[in-house]
Amino acid sequence: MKKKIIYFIITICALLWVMPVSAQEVTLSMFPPITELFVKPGKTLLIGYTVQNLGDPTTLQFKVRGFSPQGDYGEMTIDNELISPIRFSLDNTDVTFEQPFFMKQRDTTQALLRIRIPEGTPEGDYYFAFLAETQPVPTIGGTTNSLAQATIGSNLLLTVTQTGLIEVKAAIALFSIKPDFIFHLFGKEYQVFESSNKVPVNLIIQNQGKNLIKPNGELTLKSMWGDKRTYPLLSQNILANSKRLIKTTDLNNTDPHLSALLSGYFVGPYSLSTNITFQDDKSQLVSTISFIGIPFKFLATIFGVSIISVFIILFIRKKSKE
Amino acid sequence: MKKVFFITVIAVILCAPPPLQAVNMNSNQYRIQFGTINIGGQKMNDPVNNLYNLTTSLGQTAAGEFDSNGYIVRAGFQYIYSRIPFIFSLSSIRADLGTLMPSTPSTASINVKVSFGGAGQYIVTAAEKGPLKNFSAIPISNTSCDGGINTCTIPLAKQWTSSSAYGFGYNMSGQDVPADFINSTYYRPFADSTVPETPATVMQSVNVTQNLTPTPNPQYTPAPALTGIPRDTTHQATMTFKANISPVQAAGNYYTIIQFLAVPSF
Repeated sequence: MKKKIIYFIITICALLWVMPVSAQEVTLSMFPPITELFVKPGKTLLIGYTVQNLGDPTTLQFKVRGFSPQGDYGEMTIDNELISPIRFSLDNTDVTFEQPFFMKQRDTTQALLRIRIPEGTPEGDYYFAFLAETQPVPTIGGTTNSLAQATIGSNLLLTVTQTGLIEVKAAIALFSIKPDFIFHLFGKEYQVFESSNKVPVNLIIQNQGKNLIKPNGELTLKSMWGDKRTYPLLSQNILANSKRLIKTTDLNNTDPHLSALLSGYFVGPYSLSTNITFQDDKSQLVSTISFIGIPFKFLATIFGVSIISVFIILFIRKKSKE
Repeated sequence: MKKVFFITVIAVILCAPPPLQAVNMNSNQYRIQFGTINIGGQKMNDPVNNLYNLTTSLGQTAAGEFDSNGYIVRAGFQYIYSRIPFIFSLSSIRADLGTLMPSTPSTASINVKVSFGGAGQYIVTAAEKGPLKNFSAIPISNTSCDGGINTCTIPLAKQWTSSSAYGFGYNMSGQDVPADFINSTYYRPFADSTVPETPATVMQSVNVTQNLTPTPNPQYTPAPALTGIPRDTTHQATMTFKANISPVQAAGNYYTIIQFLAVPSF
């Protein structure tokens, strides 16, 4: 009888004990996130990409696609096909382009990307993304499914040049602030801020040349009192024939559409200027804008307090007369 | 003897070589970080108010490297500590909407996570590989949301609350999602990569991450020392799929593939 009870309990426990089931997760990592190449035509290079599967076992495939910049904020569009004079191949013995291979959990593989720039390749920039793409597992049926196919990429910015010299041809497309008020006086426009408000700044650089450029410079804020503050600019890539918003190194500015958000108590006229140079090029871009800080809130408070004080004084006098 | 020792010590201290520094030049008017001092050079003037002159040098290290090898390779971003891999994660490869019934909206969610410590900036796009189809290849059209002023498009989310508005779409919530997803009732249709349509951005950060360990390549362009508070470099959002079929559409099971692409910005 005892044996039967023990057998019964073990059977019940076995039936109730269920392994936790989780949906199949995909987590991929890739390094390096970006590679910049300056190459002479006729050269061949080898770049190693480390790809790690940090999720469940999956099937991956490698591919290379061209991309082009979009908009002012570092966005990009990846092409569906690879059409380029640059030649790509994988040096791996066990992996080829667009051929799925299996990766276990925590498995790491290195993709050895061979890049050949044929003789006669036109000088200029070529932009590519090296992609690792999971293969969706076919649905077994039974329910409506959206199957997710995950692709992780790394950008490859390739400059083909015979001399090593690049074309630096840039302009300031936009250097502006967003004032609280604007007023015109004697044909001149004045941009006004409430003194305690932050000053949003936008700086967009246009690259009119055929090679990517990197701005080096800063924003400089000067007050009529002689105070001066500088905000270094991040040396972000501006791809050929595109525009890009350049941010300052102030990481407290989390607005993606602003270069900087200047904080302080601004009283009186200010000038905000930018000086930008590019790589080894000697030319520089310079622009200056001005604004006025007026302590409206402070003045309104003083005015309000004065009015109330006058009323109180008048009231007290009236009372004392009575 | 003590005197000689004392004089020697003093002489050694006085004649000790000065501390070595990187060639950083600055004044109130200009600054050059990691300036390269070589032969030759050229003067340039401040074109605006002629306040200063700046002398540039010739013979950059990179140029010499290019001449001898025929190439220069630079991996990683110069202004952040790039030795952190870029990581992309989906909580599930399957979003299960169940068996679709007419005028009964069905939803399912997956989490999208990006860790971009070494990438600084990133972008995640999504597109469908054809519309949702059943096994007879009958498709469910992509949603237009509630229609009228609430007609959504691939790049613009609008409200989708009506049970008589049919189709297939998605909502995004969480970090770095487009601003047009005002709340959980705002949806967009997917771009169809088979058309082909340009995939829509579903997550994006243009904010460069904190340089926790500033290690700029010294042979590279000036990398300013970054300041500020450390920022969380793993961002997460939720994509909610929604499907609603009309009474003339066959109830049952439908299927499609959603292509997610995560890349660092350039």
